[in-house]
Amino acid sequence: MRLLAAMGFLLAFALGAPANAADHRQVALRAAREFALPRYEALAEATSSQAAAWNDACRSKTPRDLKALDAAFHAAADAWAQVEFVRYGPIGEEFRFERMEHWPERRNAVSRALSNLISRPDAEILSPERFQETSVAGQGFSALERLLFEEETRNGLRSSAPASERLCQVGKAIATALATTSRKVSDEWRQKTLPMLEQADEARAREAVTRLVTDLLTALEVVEDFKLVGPLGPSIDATRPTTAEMWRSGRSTRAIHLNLEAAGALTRALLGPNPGDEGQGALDAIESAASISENAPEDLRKAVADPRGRTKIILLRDAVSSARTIATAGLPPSLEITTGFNSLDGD
Amino acid sequence: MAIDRRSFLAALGAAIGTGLSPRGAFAGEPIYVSACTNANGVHHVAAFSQDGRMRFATTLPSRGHDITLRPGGRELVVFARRPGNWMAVIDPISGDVRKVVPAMPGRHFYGHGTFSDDGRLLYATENRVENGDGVLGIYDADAGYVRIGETMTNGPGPHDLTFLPDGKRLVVANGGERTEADSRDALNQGALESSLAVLRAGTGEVESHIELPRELRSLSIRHLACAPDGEVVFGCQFKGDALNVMQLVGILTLSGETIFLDIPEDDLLSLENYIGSVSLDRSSDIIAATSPLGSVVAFWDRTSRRYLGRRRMSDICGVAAAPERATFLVTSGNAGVGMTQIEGRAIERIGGDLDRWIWDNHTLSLDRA
Repeated sequence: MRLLAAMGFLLAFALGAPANAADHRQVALRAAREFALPRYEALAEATSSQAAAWNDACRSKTPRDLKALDAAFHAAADAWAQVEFVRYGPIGEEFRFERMEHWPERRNAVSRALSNLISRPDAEILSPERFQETSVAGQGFSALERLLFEEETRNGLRSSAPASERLCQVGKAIATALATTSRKVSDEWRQKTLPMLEQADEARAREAVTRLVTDLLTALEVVEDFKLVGPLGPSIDATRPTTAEMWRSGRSTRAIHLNLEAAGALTRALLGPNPGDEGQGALDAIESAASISENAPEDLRKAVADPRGRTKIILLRDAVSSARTIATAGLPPSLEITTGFNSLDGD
Repeated sequence: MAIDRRSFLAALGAAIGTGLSPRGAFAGEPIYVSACTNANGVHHVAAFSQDGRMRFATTLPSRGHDITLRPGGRELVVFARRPGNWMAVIDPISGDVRKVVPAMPGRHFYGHGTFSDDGRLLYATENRVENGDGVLGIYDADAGYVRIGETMTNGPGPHDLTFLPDGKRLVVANGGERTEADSRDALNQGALESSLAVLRAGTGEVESHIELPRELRSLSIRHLACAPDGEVVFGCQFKGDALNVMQLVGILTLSGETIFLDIPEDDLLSLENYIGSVSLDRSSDIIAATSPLGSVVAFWDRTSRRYLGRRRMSDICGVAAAPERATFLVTSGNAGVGMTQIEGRAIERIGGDLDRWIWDNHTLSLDRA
């Protein structure tokens, strides 16, 4: 028994040795430099332009032209969709993530939060300090999209009616909050997370890689289960079109495409120049799903109920599902990590 | 997949506590035990002190789930994750495997177990494979953990269990899912039969059987924490439409009713319909419930039922009382181990060796048990 104990000790020692200390740090740094940093910087810039657009719009004479707001929204939402699935790093702190977007919407939380902001008479609740304390469902892209693209509020925003001013101020508050959070996240990546990774020991470096891969696999799960299977519903007679993400602005398919492209880009950054067979397989599967999504029907809400469109959406779902299976099996071993399992299959 | 008994025993025979600590060292010092996995995917049960030093790490043949301490501190019992084929009796100081008890033919361990106050009998939640009925397997620890009988839990999918303070009655959380033999998939999705059963340990008689209201039939009650006054906190997982939102943490009161604890909507949504573990702090006044799906731990005051707030930690699940009041040790599958207080700010990482492990669902605080 004592001999066995000694052997067990040696074995444990060998298994625990940090054989890839430099590798995991390099992998994490590639993901940070090639993926996270540029994308958060782009998000900070796009949301800042959007806040400026709202500032201008609210000062302009009514009836307002909403063209600049629409363009700013699409640019900011594009930038968000390209980094949306990441939870690792500063976006995961102070509940920032749930302030950025509140989707899927449950219990009509976005609708209720927005109505509340619009109907309250006080200006003070829209100040940056107080606004943070309101329901998170009313603070991000989901609420802004509804305000700008839901017919009733869109007409209100355009019009010269007295209520128009409040609608504009609510939009400005949301756009400002999005810009502030995005700037903080981008700055903290540059000033805190990147330097931390540059100095990281093996455990911290591996943690970064593990959590980024977990985020990536979760992204594929969310695209499949919520963004596609949700609106498809169980059959063509039982579709759930309004569960699609951002259907009011017609962004549902585009968002899926940008999510998948981002998943491909992160996979590429993580794997680096020598992905190996399993890694290459995962990358190919994700990029194939991304390319199928590029040609999927633009209006997801209509497509799920149309026989020809539905077939294309089902094809996309299958491609995402297969990418998810291949990536789940192939990415962790090719990056020499084991993903945490509590969130995937707790008990 | 049934494990061949002999090779399985051989596997555990070769499973060695690496003996990192001198014997008898944990008196007075808080030690925590948890199932975990190393970077190479090898499953272990490990003990560590609050300063982040590993005391032992013993390999297991498959993922472990909960751990219970035999009263008197003589032994730890680790249960395989459901559907489990084994439980292992471990030396609490060295981590040496003293005995492996395979599941009885036709039964699977379901992840949790608890001892009678005198430390003689061990009650383990189990599944009757042929029909998915829940049973408690009863083991005589003095007689080498021989299985001396079983009793029905009055519902399928029994998971966590706890003795009430009188030491005579057990509360069992019947998760309500019926599963096929070796599977974890529910056959009765949408019509769960979850309940809390209060059983007389001596006779197996069901003293009461508490079902949730009909509109909550997609809630699965999984985990329990009993306070010294006999109130039992329970944590649930919602198995219905993902776009629905349900209250998840409640109390079985002294009058035998179930109440759910209020929580602001933003905070409830962030729990993602899933509680992985519940715990009471040292004073038993503070409730903590973790959601690995939401990466959140939420707190309530048990006496006033008041919500106290939440903290974020990636893939958080294990939670156990720390020595100080209103303080918990929390573990993660990808962000190490931390200490959290209801006062104060972010969760403080302990770091060190603990960062190297993937921590599984539950953590046991040894000096409290």
